[in-house]
Amino acid sequence: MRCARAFAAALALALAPGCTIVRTYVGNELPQPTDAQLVPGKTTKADVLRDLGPPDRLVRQYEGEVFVYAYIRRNLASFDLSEPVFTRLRVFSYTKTQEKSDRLVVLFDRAGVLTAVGFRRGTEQLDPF
Amino acid sequence: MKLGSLLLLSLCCAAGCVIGRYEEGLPVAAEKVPQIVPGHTTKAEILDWFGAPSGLADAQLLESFLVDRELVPGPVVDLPFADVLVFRLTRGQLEGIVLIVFNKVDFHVASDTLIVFFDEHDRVSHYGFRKGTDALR
Repeated sequence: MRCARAFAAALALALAPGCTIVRTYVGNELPQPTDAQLVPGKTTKADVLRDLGPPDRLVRQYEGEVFVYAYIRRNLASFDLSEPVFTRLRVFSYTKTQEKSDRLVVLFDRAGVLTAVGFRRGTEQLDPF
Repeated sequence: MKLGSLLLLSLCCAAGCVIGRYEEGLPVAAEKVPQIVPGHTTKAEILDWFGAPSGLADAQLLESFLVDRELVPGPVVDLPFADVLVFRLTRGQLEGIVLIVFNKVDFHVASDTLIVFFDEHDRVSHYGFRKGTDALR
C-alpha cells in the first residue's frame, strides 16, 4: 500500500504542469518624437543624430538616406503537461508568442534634409503576464 | 507517505537560477566622443581614437544570431561605405529562475553605437552616439 501511494505521488509530480515565460528585449526604448524635433524640409541629418542618436539601420536609396530606429520585444509563454520519464507523452501543450516593436523611420533627401517620418509604437500592444 | 512528502519537498527546493552575460565588439571610447568636431576632425583621427570599425574588424557573432532570428533589423550598414564608419559594442544579459513547474527567463540585448559620417574631404560631417548598454542592470 505504501509503495502504491509513493508511486502515485511520483506520477502526480511527474505529470505536474510546467509553465515557462521568456521575455526578450532588444535595443533601447524609443522616445516619442515631437513635431518640433522632426520637421520636414527643415530638420537635418545632424539634428536627428544629435536628438535620437545613431540609427539601428541605415538604408541608402536613390533619393537619399533612411534612418531606421527599432526597439523589439518578444514574449513567449508556454504551458506543458507531460510524462517526462517513461513514455515522454505530452498530454497538453500551449504556447503563445508575441513580438512587437517600436519603429521610427526617418527619410532624408540627397542634401540630408528630412523629407518624411514614420513612427509606430507596437510594444504597448503586448499582453501583460 | 514519507516518500511522497520527501519527493514533493525536494522538488519544491530544487530552484535553479540562470545568469548569462555576453559581450561582443570593443568598447566605444565614450570619453573621446566630445572631441569630435564636425568639419574639423579627420577620418584618420577617428580611426586613431576608436580603432578599427565594426564590420571590418570582427565577425559580430551575437548580431548574426539575432539577425537570423529576426530580433534585430540587421547591421547598421550592409556595405562598407567609405563615408560612414560604425563602432559598436553589443551586450546580452540573461537572467532567469528555473523551478520544476515554473520557469521565467528575461533576455536583454543593448548596444553602444557610434556612427560617423564624412564629407568628400574625409572630415567629419556629422555623427551620432548612443550608450545603450547603460540600460542593462
